[in-house]
Amino acid sequence: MRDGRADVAPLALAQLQQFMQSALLQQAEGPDHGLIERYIAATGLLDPAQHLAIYQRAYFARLLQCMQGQFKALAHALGSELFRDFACEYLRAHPSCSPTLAHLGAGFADYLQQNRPDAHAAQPEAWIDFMVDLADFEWTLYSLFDAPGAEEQGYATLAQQDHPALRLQPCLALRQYRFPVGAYYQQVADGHDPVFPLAQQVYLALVRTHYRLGIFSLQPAQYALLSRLAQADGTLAQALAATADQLGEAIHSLAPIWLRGWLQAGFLVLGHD
Amino acid sequence: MHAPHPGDNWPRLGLGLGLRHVHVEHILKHWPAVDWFEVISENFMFSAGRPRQVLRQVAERYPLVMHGVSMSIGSSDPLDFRYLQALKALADEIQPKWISDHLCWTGIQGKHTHDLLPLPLTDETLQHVAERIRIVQAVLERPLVLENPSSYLSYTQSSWTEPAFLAELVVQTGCRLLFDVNNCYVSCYNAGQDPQDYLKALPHEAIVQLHLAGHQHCGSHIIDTHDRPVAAAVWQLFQQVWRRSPAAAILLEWDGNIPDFDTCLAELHKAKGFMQGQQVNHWAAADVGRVDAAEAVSTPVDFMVAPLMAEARQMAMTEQERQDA
Repeated sequence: MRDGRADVAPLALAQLQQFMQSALLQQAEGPDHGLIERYIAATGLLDPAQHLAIYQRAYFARLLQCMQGQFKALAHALGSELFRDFACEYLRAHPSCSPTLAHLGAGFADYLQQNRPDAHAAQPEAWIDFMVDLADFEWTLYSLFDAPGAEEQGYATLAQQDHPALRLQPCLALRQYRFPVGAYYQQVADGHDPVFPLAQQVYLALVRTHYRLGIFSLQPAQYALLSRLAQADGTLAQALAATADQLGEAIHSLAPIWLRGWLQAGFLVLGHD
Repeated sequence: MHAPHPGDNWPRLGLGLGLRHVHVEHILKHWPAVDWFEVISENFMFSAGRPRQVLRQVAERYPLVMHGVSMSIGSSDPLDFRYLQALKALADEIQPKWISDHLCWTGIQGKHTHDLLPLPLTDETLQHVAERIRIVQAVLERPLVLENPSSYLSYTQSSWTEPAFLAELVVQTGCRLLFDVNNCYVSCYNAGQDPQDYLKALPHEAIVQLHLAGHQHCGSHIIDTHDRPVAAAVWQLFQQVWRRSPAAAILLEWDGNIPDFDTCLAELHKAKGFMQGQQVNHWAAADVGRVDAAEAVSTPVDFMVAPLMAEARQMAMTEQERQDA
């Protein structure tokens, strides 16, 4: 049963579905008119191509609505027309391969980076960097929303700040961006129409605790320490030692203060010692 | 052969609503009086976050039915057993009264169009779908409940009518039916057929659930939009079906321009009057004679995307940061 032999499809069905799927996913090339008339029946009100066109129009419109839901700040920044153009190009290049729409935008930030409109320009354009960063930021948040977290396990407490098994919790992402995308996102969420931000290197921790998403700004040294902690299954003490090589011994006096903030914010859990 | 028989004991759920993200806060706060909820399986099967946590809370208070959109029972791709196992795992967790999906295909070659695409209704397709239903039912350890989709085309190859095709699947596999009254109306209009002929061939004894939803009339065709009240013509059809399937659970789908929970509930409760024989005031209905030039999106799916923008907030880590903020 599991090898698929029991539900081998009839050839005619497979051919028809190949025709229909191509007609939806590769609309620019368009199916042959003869094939449309061969497969689709006319009615008194519409000819076969008009019947097919209802599905073709709906395919992109439906998925575009979903992309707009997953990238609201980016859609705001680009405007509806430009966002639609980028999103439709992405959907043409990367049709969904998941039964859930929750994965629809997974490759959008990479797609934008790999298909930058300024690819052949002498200098990269700042707005494109911003667009790529904002897409990655929104997708990271979206992924964390439904990812495995530590809600059932529970978070480490201040009383455990010296525990050797402190680890980053699973629903935490560390990101650095070339623009203050978190602040931009927050302004759009609050109903404002923010201006295009100036370039500014930012370090962020995106965290889900108790099923709520938080956006935390980090200092570069905090980002370095947390990144080291995230890299391998090492201890905080090992991460501190490694980071001290880069950032100097001052980190040893600062780390306990940072740690208290991270514990209060739910960054850490007790892993296996 | 698995024809349903009078001894079948399917629960009578009453009148239910689709569980939607935008209503979750209201439901968790007020626990409103609604008989049951239908949940979109794919919204929760792969969730390890708040949606699944909310679903567990809702499952403690209300009967649930799982309604899927990605099983692709008619696809020429092999069945996706990872999908089926995830579906089964969710069912084991929330104990739905039944699990439904559509008589359709959604994609091939590993791709998903996220549309409910029509099948050519041929003898070959019938055997293919029947075999897959048997496999699915073995994995899920329960009968599958199959819904008639809304369709905008029919194939030249088709040799079966849709209700006869569904009736034969019921006989061959023991599956049950979710009859979407609006889909029947939409598909018949788009195919130039009479819904009355559809009803005559429908195996009413196999229907365990009815769907109601709004649609958009575009003149040359009708789009299944789920974004407005139920049309008068659909209520009339519902009244006829209800007389033949009085044990069926009734569910209103409202997936686009979703109003507040109480508005959805009020629309659902219109069904009570029609179930008791109240005449559908066809000429007073808001939809009569209304034809839209701009086509809305058929079977919208964006309601499945969690509206998390309002949830993610910039947070201050320290007291100094809080003061700065």
